[in-house]
Order: sequence, then structure tokens, then C-alpha cells
Amino acid sequence: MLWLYIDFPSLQLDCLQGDTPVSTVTERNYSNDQAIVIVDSKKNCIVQLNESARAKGIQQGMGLGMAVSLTHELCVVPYQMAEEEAYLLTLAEQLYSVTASIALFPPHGLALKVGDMLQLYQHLTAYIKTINTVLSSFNLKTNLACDYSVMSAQLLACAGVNLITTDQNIMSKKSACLSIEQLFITDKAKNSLARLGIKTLAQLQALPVKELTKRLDSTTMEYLAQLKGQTDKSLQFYQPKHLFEHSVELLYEMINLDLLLQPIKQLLALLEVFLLRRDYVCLQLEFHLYHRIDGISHVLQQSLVINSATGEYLSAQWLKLVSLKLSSIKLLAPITKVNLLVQHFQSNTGEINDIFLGKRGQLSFAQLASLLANKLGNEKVLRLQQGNDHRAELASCYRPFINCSTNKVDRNNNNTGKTISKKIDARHTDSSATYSVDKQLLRPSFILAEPELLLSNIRVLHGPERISTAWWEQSKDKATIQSFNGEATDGNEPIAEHGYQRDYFVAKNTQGQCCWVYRELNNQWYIHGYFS
Amino acid sequence: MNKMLKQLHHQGKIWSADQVKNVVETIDSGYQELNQHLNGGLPRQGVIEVQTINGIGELRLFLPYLLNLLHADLAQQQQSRQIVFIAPPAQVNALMLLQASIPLDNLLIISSQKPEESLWAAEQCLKSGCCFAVLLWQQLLAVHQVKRLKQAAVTGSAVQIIFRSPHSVDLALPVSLSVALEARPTGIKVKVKKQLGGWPCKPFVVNMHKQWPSLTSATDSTSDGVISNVVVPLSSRQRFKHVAKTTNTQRISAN
Repeated sequence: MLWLYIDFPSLQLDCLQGDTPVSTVTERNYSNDQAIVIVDSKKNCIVQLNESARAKGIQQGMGLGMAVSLTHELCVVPYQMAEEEAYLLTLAEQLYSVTASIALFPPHGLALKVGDMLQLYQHLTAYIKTINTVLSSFNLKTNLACDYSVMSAQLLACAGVNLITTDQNIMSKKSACLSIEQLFITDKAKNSLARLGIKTLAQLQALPVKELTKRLDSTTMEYLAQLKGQTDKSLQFYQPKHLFEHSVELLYEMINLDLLLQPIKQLLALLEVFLLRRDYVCLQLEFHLYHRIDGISHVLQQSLVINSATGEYLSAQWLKLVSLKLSSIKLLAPITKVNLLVQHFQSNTGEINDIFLGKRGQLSFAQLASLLANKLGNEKVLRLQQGNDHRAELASCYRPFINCSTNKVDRNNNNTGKTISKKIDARHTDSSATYSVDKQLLRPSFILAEPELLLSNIRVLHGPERISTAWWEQSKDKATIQSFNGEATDGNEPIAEHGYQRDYFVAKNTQGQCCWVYRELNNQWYIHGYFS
Repeated sequence: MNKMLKQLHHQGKIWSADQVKNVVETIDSGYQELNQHLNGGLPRQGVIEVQTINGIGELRLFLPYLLNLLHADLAQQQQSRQIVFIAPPAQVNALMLLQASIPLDNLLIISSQKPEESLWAAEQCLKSGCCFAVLLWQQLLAVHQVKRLKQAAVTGSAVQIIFRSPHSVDLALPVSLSVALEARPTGIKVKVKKQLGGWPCKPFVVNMHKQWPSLTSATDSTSDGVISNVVVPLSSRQRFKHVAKTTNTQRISAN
């Protein structure tokens, strides 16, 4: 399997200089001829440096003291691995649109599985061209190398060899020239190889494995095997996240809301691309605004939640809503960072319009339901469901619409009228889908959540019909009574939990209301529902 | 006819009273009496106001209509549309709807407590175009709110039925149909308060005995021949008993 390894030798430096969408530019402005070095504070050596620094004689791996002695105008930036890793993820996200398998090699490398993608791109040059177009917008220094094993591609790329080929001979020739120093093995292993007089990879690979095993530890041997492609390395592949989260650090603190619209516009544009690729729309955006307190640069000041009546993906539409929302808020302190988070998405179902009936509504049913649930809360938008029980309060129950069936919604959307009408006809014959409906049973249309005391005179039309709980419910009841220490009439306990024996009657009261009343064993009368 | 008058009539500038039937598209209500008095049935679109107390059969009056509406809708639309119950007075029973052949898949219930929320939800449902009927239980209604609902109902080609208590403030609401209901032993007495494009009529009784034989009596006699009377203990006595009962259970559990 052919792999392409992309190394970004000066990722953090390029981020600092480049004008990239997710810019991490700090307060200082860097002019082009300013010498910048990035220093790893742990090792106290220079890890990344720009061209003007190189021109002044500074080299990679040099100590900071030596670098300062070479030039007095030196800008020193501490190395931050986390920043590089975050940026690497952004790169992977962008590359994911053109290539499938992306293995992450933090902090600054990516390996792309080319073998699978060649079916799509026909030829390696076409593939590399596409990759380069994506990367060119970021303005980064890159080393690309191909090989038939990931580790060997990594070795080549990190050694600074740019190698785009499918010819195995060229690859092995190039890698054979590499020195032992460039291998990703421990210093101890390097030393022991140096003592053997082995300086290049070719020399190392000429030796029989048995001999090497005696002198090198197991991890090094494993690495060498991976290098040859004899064993596979377990790779950490990039998985696109199912949420959208991006932030913009502002170049200067913003207090004016109109200016704040600019970075928001940037974020919305990114969101639009994200949604468009997945054919999603979203209903809610969350903006988090950060400000500076006592030197801590990003402290959450406030969050804005923006809802849309219809699922939107267009940034222009969202921008309208955002500017409306912004006009009603007040900033407490200058903003330093804006973060946009979108967690819930819907598939873009589109509108279904009948050409003859004209445009009717704007929403599909799923859109409507999610809109209602967003505004009112999930627990208030309900579906009715049959329960398998003889007790009326359990034979019918509510279920939140959103949790109950996300696929059901889609199915309803795709259904044509014919299948639905069939379903209606089949409902009574097909008892496997629902519990059988007894047409003879007299059940009220509205059931009270808590039975009320019957306080007026009634005239009985029908009855009695005895409904009692099963014996195991009775025992459960006793158990609950004991555990609750006599608080059997606790409001939190659903009525159905208790064992009972009730005689139900259908009766009319003096107002003409048709009630479903019951008498308990101790001659207490209650209203349980109404026949509306 | 006068030549000028004829010309005006031809141009459609004169509206004559016999054109009533074309004004409102109606759907068979399932009750003969209603169809007779309301030009063939209940309106297919618009806002219907129902002044009634709960539990006298007001929902049963509309169930056959809703079912007819569902079938008519299915014949016309390419997808099945929903009935929405907003803020019903108590928990809706699935069995009753299934007995009336209304599938539960076509039913959405919104149990909002705040009137503003209910109105908002009603408007959204109506104008979404994926609901054909919205049933709303709401007391207070202003003219502009009804106008908005009406507009939304036209947009989404749906019908809005609003249930209110009979003695709510009686404004001249711009509804398509307004009826007041009263309980009768055989069914429901309907008083048409307002009807778009219709003539005023005397209150009439809708006989429900055919559809609901067990809940209504065949004749309008208030005397109870066969059915036994049950006299329920006085309220105060019962409350006292209720208290006694709870203390009893506590005593049992303590044992």
C-alpha cells in the first residue's frame, strides 16, 4: 500500500506568519525581515526558524545563547506543542475533503493512504496536485515523501527528501542513503549501532535480523520491521467530529459590535462549508465570547444562542440573525476571542412542493418538530403511544418526539401517500405492529393525571367494570409502602405503581359532562377521565 | 334584468346570496344535522371557535370530521400530514383515537402550559404545511391573534379548532365558524354564533346516539327509566373520609 507522508517542519512558525483562517497571531506584528526563532524551552534549543534568521547564521538545534550572540534583533517565541497539534487537526479536516484515510502523526506530520485514492485520482501526480491545492491556501513549508511503508515515508519526509514516485527502486535507493541519526530510534540504539560502525540505513539493512536482535532492543527491532513494511504500525486515523467548533482569536480587543461581525462572518463561512459538504442544516448556533481578566487572556464573558425557525446552512441567513441578536446585547469588556459551537444537525430534506398546488408551507414535519422541541423543550413535544396494559393510565402514554424516533421521522418524510394510506387500512388487521384495539371498550378521551375526588351527583350510564392490578403489583405496592415508610400517596409516585381494585362507571354529572368515575374498595369515588 | 345590472353581474361585481355554497369549501362532518345547518359540513380551512365545557362530547363532535379531513388530505397531498393537539386539558387517551380510526403516527401533542407558547406553537404548526388540523385549548384570544392564526392556516392549508369555555369574553373574533355547545342526553345542542358565508339558524341538537350508543340516550327524556341513579356522598363528608383513608394507610404501613 502506497503512503504519502507530509511533514510540516515549521508548522508553528508558519502559523505565526501566515494569514490563515484560524489565525493564532499574537499581539506583535511580524514584519517579513524580522528574524524569528521558536525555542523549545525544555531542551533550550532552536526548533524552528525563518529565512531571515537562517541568513544571519542561526541553525536548527542551536542554543538560544548562541543565536542571540549572532544577532541582537531576534524575536523568540516559545514552542507550543498543543498549538501545533490543534493546527494539525485543522489541516486534516481540510484534507479530509479530498482524501480518505489520514493518519495523524502529532505534532507536525500527516500520513495519507494513497493506494486507495489512486482509483479515484487515476495517477499520483493528479492526486499530489489536489493535495497541494488544499495545502497552498495555508502557506506552509512542507516535505512530501511516498513509500510503501508508513514509517519509511515518514523517515524520508522528515529527512527533508521530497519524493513523489511509485517506483520502489528509487524509494529504496533514497532511503538507503539516509544516516542512522535520522532514524526514529532511541539514542541508546543509535550509539550501539555507531559502535558497530554502521552509519547508513543500507548498511543496517544488509545485516541479518538474527544478529541485530542480539544487540538491539525489541522496540527498535519492531521499528526496523515497520520500516521495511514487514509489520504494520497501529495508526491513529483522523475521524471527522460530529460537531462544529471553531474559534477566532482576535488581533486586537474589540468593543464595537459592528467590528465583531467580521470574525463572526469568517466563522459562519467555515460553518457553511462544513454544512454544505455534509448536506446538513442547523437550527441553533452557540457563540461564546471571551475577554481578558487579570492577564488570563481568554475568560468566557457571555454566550449567545441563536435559533432559526427553519434549518439553515447559508452564512448570509445566519448573519442576519446574528446581527439581530447582537443588537440586543451589551458587551461588558473588550472581546479577545470568539468561539462558535454547533452541536445538533439535521439532514437537509429540502422542500416538497406540489407543482399544481403551489407552495404551501415552509417546513417538513421533522423540521417543524425540531423547531417546536427547540423552543418549548423536548419534554413538551410528544407522541402518543399504546401500552400493553389493561389499566387505562398505562394503556396510553406520551413519549417525547425527539428521543422516540429519529429514523421514524425520516421514514415519514420519505413515505408517499399510498404507503401511509395502506398503513391506515392495515392498522386494525395488523395487530403485530400495535396492540389490538377493542372497539367495545369504553374509554375516555382524556385521562386525568391524578384522579380527582368526585364532588357532585352523577347519573350512571354504564358499569360497573372492575379493573384491578395483578397480585405482583399488590406486593410491589406493599414493598414500596414499607420502603417509603407510609408515604404511599407520595406525589412523585405514579398511580399505576400501586395495587388497586376499582369499579369503573360511565356517568353524567349535573352539568352534562360524561365522566369516567370509579369507586374504590372503601367506597371512595373518584373521577378518572372525561369522555369529551 | 336591467342591462346595466346584467353587465355588472357578468363582471362579477355583484355578489348574490345564492352563491354561498362556493364561498367556503366544506368537509362532511359525519353528523347529518351539522351538515344540514352548515352548508354541507365544517370548513376545510380557517379557524373554528368552539365554546364548550370539557367532557360533553365536544371532541366526539369533531372526530368524524377529522377522519374525513385526514382521508381527503391523503388523497390530495403526497405525504401524510399531522393532527396537532396543543395544551389539551388532560392526557389524551390513545385508545379513544384508535377507536375513531385516527392513527397515532399522525398525531403530535404539545403540552405547553403558557398561553403564549401555545399560540406560537399553533401558528408554527399551521403555517408549516405539514399539519392539516390543529386543536388548541385556550381561553383568552385577541382579534389580532386569531387573524394571525387564520393567515397561518391559509398558508399551510390547515384548519384551526379552538376550544374555549362558554363564558369567555365574547369579542367579535374573525373566525370562519363559531359554535357554542351544550350537553343534551341524546348528544349536543349546537348554537351557531357565526358562520362565514352562511345564514343564521336556530340552535339544533346533534344526535350522537348512532355513533356513541353507550354514551348517549336514544330519546331526549331527562327522566331515568332504566338507568339507576347513584347519589354520591356530600363533598364535605368525602373530604373527611379521604383524610381518614390516608391516615389509615399510614397506620397499616406502620404495622
